[in-house]
This record gives sequence, structure tokens and C-alpha cells, in this order.
Amino acid sequence: MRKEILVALAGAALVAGCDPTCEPVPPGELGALTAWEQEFLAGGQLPDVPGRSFLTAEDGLRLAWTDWVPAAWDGSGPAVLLVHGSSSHGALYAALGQGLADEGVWARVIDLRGHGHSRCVAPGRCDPLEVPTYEESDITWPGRPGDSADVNQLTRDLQAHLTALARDVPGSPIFLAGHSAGAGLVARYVESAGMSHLGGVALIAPFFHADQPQNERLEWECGRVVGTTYARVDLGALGDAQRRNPHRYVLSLDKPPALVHPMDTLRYTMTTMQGLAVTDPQRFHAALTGPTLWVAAEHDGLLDLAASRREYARIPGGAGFVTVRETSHVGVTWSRPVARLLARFVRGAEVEGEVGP
Amino acid sequence: MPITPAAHLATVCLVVLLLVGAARAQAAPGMSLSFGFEPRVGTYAADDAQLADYGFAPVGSALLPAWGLRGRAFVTERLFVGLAMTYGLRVAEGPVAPTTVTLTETALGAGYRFPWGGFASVDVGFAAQTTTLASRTDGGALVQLGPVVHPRVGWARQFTAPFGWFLAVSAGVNLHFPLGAPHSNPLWEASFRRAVQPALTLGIESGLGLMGGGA
Repeated sequence: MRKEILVALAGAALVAGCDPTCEPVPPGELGALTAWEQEFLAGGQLPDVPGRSFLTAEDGLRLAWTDWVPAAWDGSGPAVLLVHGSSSHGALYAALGQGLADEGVWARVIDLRGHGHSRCVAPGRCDPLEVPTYEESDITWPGRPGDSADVNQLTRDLQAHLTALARDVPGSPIFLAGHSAGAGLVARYVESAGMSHLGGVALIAPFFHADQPQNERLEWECGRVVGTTYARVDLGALGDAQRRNPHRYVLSLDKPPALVHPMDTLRYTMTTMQGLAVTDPQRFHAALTGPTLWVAAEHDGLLDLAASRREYARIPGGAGFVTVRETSHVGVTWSRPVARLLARFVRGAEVEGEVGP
Repeated sequence: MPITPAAHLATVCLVVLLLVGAARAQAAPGMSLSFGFEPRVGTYAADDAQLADYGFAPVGSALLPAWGLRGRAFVTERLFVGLAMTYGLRVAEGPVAPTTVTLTETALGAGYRFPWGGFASVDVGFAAQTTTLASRTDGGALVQLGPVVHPRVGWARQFTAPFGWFLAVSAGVNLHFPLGAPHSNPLWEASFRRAVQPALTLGIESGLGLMGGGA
């Protein structure tokens, strides 16, 4: 009897020890870069940013943007406001900005608060080249890396950018475009503001919410950490943030070394994490009533292509689902054909099917 | 080890021990059955600061009112074995819902009775202590399951000899060893885990049957 009990105890311990969810988080992955993307990176082919402008946000923070103006701009064409993805900033979208301008489309690429040139490492110390340390704090300040005052402050910032752009290009139809979590912010904005004032929306490899079926959700450290290897949420920190400390860092973003940039923002508080996601992952599609383009990367390491198609089918204003061949989640923003595709979309041309890398 | 298999294993062991005890009791020269009020003073409020931090009502007191039934069977004139079932409850009002501490303990014991009415015994068993929690945004429970050891000394007075009514008082130390994690909520950073939960017990017991020094 004693022997049987010991065997049972050893078996139970063995099962507990082999639980895959109890493994540590592996190094960050965004999916392998394709051949042309590796060449692009090795060649340092991102165009130089032409210069930055700023608008003053509701809390006094200077929000940065870059305009990519077509050479023969006569004030009559469409304009695109482009929102970068998580951990990133506008300069890394220079290929899309330049590509749109080359196609005759005015492109404004913004730096979200707490990112890039809209980031302050300490109250009033807003040097974008200073690497943040992500020190925990009970309070926030304008531009704190990866933080925002509340879950809707990024949405209000986006509205301020749209208002400024509408003033700068009067008469031009304005389109909103977002990549990855930037598309999540675009969809969140549309959830509350609608699309009647927009020419349309372009969602590029969009990440809308952790509970969306298109993105995998993994677990490590016995369920204490969830997400992807790139974006992991510490659930204990999230619980604390939900209870009393909304400005605690809860999300860590871990990029492969080849994609790391010195100005990356690699930690998010709950307010910014939720502010970049839709409020209702089950029903947000219904708000996308205007022309909506979905651009998917064929080799996206984060998003499932088939599930993305199913989600796209739920969008009432769906104007096209286009797959970019031989392209990964990040590389889709370096693709010249994607810039051409966006330019065709904002001019009302039919967009569907596939484009080359 | 996960809590559930451990609890099942302990339950099986306890049932086997109880059956053995009952078989021995059949041949015993005397037995008793009693009801006891057995409050405990222990570390029940040790997590109060953290509970308040989480928005839950704190337990608020180290005192846990407890009561139960106890049966004893004498295997010799002095030696006895016993079974005990003890229940405890404490309710602390909170802004949303009360924090409740609920204890259920089942134990097998053995002891020695002295001619002058004193006795010493040790109970070994299994205890389940559950603390239910709720705040405006969150809720759940801490479940502490594990073996318990409860040595005690006491004195009993038999009022109608030799098998009538008796009264007993006792004092002891209850040591509960919770197994595993008391919760699996990843949103709670605090583990609330403890290796042992000690409590001093003070019991007053009233029953029928053979137990104390003679009247």
C-alpha cells in the first residue's frame, strides 16, 4: 500500500513538473524575416525623415509628427494619417511615408505619446535619444515611456492629430491607417468616433485585442505570464494595475535583436496597453462602416491569416483584403507595393487579392 | 503537488484509520460522545494588510470560533482513541461582501486518561480552511487544505459515574500544514501561501459516557 501511494505521489509530482505552461518565457519572436526583408535591413534602406513638427496635447505634451508631402502637391489629393505599432515610432515607417508621397498621397506619420519623439524619460525631460529605464511609479507624467493618463488618452491624441491634419490639408479626404497595435488604436478610435468624417481606414497586420481569434495566446511561468513571445503580460502586475495602480508597467515587448531600435519603447502600462486595443473585441467590427482595407502579411509570425480573413468578413465596410506575399509582420511596413496599395485604396480603386513584397 | 490529489489521498487515509478505530472501539470497555466549544486564537488575520490592499475586507481578528463533536473509545482502562469533527466560522463585514473564514477539520486521536481526571491526547487529521473574498472589482477564495496535528491536555469531571454526563476543559496547539497554493488567480501577485498555520485552542466539552475522574 505504501509503495502504491509513493508511486502515485511521484506521478503527480512528475505531471506537475512537466506542465508546459510553467516554462519560462522564451526570447522574443516576431516571425522570421523573409529574404527581401533581410536584404532591406542589411542595406539600411529606411529613408531619412524630412523633419518633425509638434502639436500640443491636452496635458501640454508635444506630440511629434512627420509629413511626407508629394512633390507636386496641389492640395486636392487624399491624405493618410499613419499610426505606428507597439514598441515602435514614426521614423520606422519612413518607407511607407516616402512611398505614399511618391504616389501623390500626403502622409502624416505620428509618434504616439510615450513613444519616439513624443516620449519623456522624466517629468519635463523629453530627450528622445535618452534610453528610458521604465522605473515603476505611482504617478504618471506627460510623455512617460509607454504610459498614458487613462485608457482613452491615446484616442484623444489621435483626434487632435486628425483635427490638425484636416486644418493643414483642407478639402482633402483623410484616411486613417495603422499597423499592428496602431491599427488597434485606429479601430478603437472608430468605435467611439465613427467613420463619417473619414475617407476610410487601412488596417495593416492589425492587432486589435488579446482576445481576438487571429492572434495566438500562450502561457508561461504557470499562467502568470500570457501573450506572445513578443508581447507578454504579467498578470500579477495587471491585477495590481486594475485594483489600484493603473500606471504600473504590465506589458513587456521583446524584439529579436535585428529589429531593436534605440528609440523603442519596450514596456507599457495598463492604460497604454488597453488604449491601443479595441474596447469590445467581439463587436468592434460593426463600427467599421466606411471603406476599410485589411492588409495581411503572408508570413506574419503573430497573426493567423485564415482567422484574419474571417475577422475581415465581419466588417460591414470591408473594401478589400489584400495579402502581401513573402512578407512578415514588421516587413509589411517596408514594402513599396503596400504603399502603392494604400495609394490605390485612398483613391477609391478596387483592392483585393495579393501584392508582391 | 496539486491540492486535489493530496486531499483525496488524505481522505482515503483518514477513512481507513477511522474504520480501524471503530473496529477497536467495538471491543472497548467504555466510550463517550461529546459536544465541544473550542475557540482558537491563531494567525487567521496574518494576511489582513494584504487583503485590505487588494480591496477585500480584512479578517479582523485572530479569534476563530469553532465547535464540534468528539467520540472516544477506551481500548484499555487508561488509553483511548477518538474521532473528532470540528467546524469554525468567522464573518467580517466588508463594503461589498463579508470576508468569511470557514474551517472544517476531521481528525483521529489517541490519548491517555489519568486517575485524577486529567488527560493528554494528540489528534491527527485533515483540515480545510476557506476564506472567501470580494471587492468591488474582484473576488475569489483562499483554500488551505492539509494535514493537521493537535496535541492537547485537559481535565474532565464525571458527574454521574461511571458512564453518565461529564464536563471537560482542554487547551492545546493546533498546527495546520496547508498543501499547495491557496489560490491560482494569476491576477493576485500575493501567494498567501504559508507553511503552517498555528492556533492555540481552548475547549469546553460536555458529553455522555466514560471520560473523566469519578464523581
